Amino acid sequence: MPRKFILSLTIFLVLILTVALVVGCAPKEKVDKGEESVSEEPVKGGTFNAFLMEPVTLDAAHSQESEGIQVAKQIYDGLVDYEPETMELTAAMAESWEPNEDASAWTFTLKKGVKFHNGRECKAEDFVYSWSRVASKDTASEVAYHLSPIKGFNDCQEGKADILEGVKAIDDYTLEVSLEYSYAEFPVTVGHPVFSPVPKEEIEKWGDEFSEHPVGTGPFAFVEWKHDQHITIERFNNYYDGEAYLDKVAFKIFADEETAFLEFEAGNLDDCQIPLGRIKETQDKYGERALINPMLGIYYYGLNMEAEPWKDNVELRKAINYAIHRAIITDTVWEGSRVAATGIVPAGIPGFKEDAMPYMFDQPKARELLEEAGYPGGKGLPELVLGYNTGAGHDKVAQAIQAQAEEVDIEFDIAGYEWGTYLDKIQSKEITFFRLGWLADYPTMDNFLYPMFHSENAGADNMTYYKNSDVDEKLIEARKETDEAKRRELYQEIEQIVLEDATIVPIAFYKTNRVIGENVCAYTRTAMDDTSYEFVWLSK
Amino acid sequence: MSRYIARRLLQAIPVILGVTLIIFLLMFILPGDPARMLVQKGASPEVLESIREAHGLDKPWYVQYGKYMWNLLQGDFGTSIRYRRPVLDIMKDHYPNSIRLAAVALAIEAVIGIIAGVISAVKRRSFLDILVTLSTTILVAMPIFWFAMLLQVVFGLKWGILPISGMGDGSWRYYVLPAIALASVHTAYTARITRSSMLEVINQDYIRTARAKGLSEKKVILKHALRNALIPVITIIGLDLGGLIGSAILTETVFSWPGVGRVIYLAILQRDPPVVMGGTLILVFIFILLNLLVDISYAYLDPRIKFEGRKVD
Repeated sequence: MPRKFILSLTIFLVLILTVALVVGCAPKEKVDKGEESVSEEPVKGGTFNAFLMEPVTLDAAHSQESEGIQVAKQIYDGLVDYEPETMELTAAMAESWEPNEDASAWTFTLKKGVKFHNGRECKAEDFVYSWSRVASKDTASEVAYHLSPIKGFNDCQEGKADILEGVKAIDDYTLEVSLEYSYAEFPVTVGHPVFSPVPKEEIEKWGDEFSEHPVGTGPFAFVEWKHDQHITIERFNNYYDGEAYLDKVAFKIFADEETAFLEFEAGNLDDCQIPLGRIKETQDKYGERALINPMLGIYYYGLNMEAEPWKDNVELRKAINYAIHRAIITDTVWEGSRVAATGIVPAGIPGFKEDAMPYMFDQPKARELLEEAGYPGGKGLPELVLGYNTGAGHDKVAQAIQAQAEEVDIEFDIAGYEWGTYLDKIQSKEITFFRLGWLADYPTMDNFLYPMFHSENAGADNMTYYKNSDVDEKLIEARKETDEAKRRELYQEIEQIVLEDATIVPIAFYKTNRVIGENVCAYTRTAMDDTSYEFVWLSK
Repeated sequence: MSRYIARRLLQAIPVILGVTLIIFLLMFILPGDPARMLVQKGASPEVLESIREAHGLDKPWYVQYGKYMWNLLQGDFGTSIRYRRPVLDIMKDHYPNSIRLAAVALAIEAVIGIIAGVISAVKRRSFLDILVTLSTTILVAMPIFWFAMLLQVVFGLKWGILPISGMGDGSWRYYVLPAIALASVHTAYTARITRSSMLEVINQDYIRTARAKGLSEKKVILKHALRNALIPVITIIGLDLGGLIGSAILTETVFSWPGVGRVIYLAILQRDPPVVMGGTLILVFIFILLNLLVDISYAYLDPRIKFEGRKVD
């Protein structure tokens, strides 16, 4: 026994040392510039192994986090969808839609023959049921607010009604929606998964466990969810919009992006998130297979408008904006996986205005404004703390911002907090200078400006407590405006006012960071950071 | 023996009650609003209030605690605020995975740790002793996540002989790397403790007597020395199983192992008290049972230890 043991132990130790040497001296991998050979015609079949982190739910009524939405978008379909490349509104289950004169009511004509995965046809009444279920007090949906423009929403939320008064099935294929106010972009909002129809009989069968057995009308039907292991979906052969190419999509669930990336490199995943810090290396290695595309999201620092020293001191707020060299941060800290913000509304949103932000990096101007703010050379500036939530490299961004601001004599400490504590501190105004991000729910300018800057959302999505009656009025006016060009002009004007008030310091617009396998074809990572696997196929 | 076990189990009741109260209070005073953590957007005061109401979070802590304990007595561990699933279902999904992985890690720890410790003690100051001491020092000093990633890169990515992560079809191959990573530090400690315990026993008079009787060295070491030296080692190893289940967060994260450690950790971050309570309670219960098993095992290792009352002559 001792001899065998000695031998085993020696082998073990030698192995560890060898491994350390092998890893340390490993030659660089061959560069793949993405010249993979692909078949010309789409090929049907195969299982796509996709990267995912554990979702919270697969019930459309509670779809709010990106992981759940990624799977939900394959299982459920809604009235409309967004074109993957351009984010333009396209028809899905609705054939057409028409507003009334002032866009306070919308009539959707449904396609015939759309089937749920259980085989039953989906009709207008299913939308009435599904939307009422989301709005219901009993469902306690975290995303019910998306339905708030619909008449009768408050009654449902308060438990006074079971059915949304504003949603009516005129006949099997005509759905009429009455709103509390004119809302010209309402059809865009119904592309969110929360508006997807679910079959009443399945909800009644599974109750709270519907999330474990989701049924929709999407291109893939649910097969299995083994928590923290995988979610499997398979092609729905009765899909109304043409069958998907893939037989199955197996979402492999990971707890760590680095581990997932190793699996990708070993050829066990067909798509994967690129871990922070490995973007450039991945781009060099995989070329065009690394999908670093613009995304509809903004990374910003908020300044609390009800707290000193930001309150009533627009010069100070502007000074910080001028002090930041955004491109340096996006290029160095983020390795180009973010793009320097040029406003609040990111590129890709219809109506996006290039260079909306009046603040470019200008240190003399920042110093001048600091003096105008009453703090010449930073003298008299109270002790400031820039807060961020720990993880995801926010500390490195905060350090860069701190260093840049110091160059114009704006000095502050930085402090990282765990997310729950962080939110508490922002809401209690203990932190008045803080990092946050905003990702689009649907591709509209309104989705950036209304939640973040309308005074009715102060303390909720409007974390800076920004209150400007002019902006409030214009936001309502823009929602009502049915002329698309005029509406966009109005939103651009609003964006300009908010930027002039400098309530936030826009830092960067997000980008997708995915990489795909060499035999993956027709794969698009949309600006909302999701993929419709119905279009994807595998060559070879 | 049965009376002893019954008494120990009864003693566990106040321990469990104490743990539930402490965890509940800790979760309650922790900064961070569970309702706010649940809603990513649109968190207006009205929405937050209705969520608090729906989950009973609007009640004072003692009412919430009382309700929780009342439900617990009826076997209801509550429902996760975040996942909207019964806590017991979540635990059923994850605990078996953690226990299986911990059991394999424990086997590695016990076998390699004890053998290395015994050899190191018996061959004191030899090359082998130095080798064991050095390797245990390296294992203790190496961060687990780094060691785990090293194993993944070499055996999974470079050589492709073992799976990189996950449980796959549940075959033994998926257990190898995470179990080695999880057992690494514990194995080193076990080897060190076995070594020092053996050294202490080897110098005792009865070992000299055993040798004087002409017993073979193998018999002296295995039957007389090791059996006595194992008592502290068994204590450590026995309690390690609980530790390996509850503290495997890093291993579970790096290997994407669907264990309970990560579930409890995330539940703390996400302010999901029912999951934290349920997960911790089961872990406490496992610890109590293991403690009991360890105590019982003493009687077999050391005949002088009795659990029943002494007979009066």
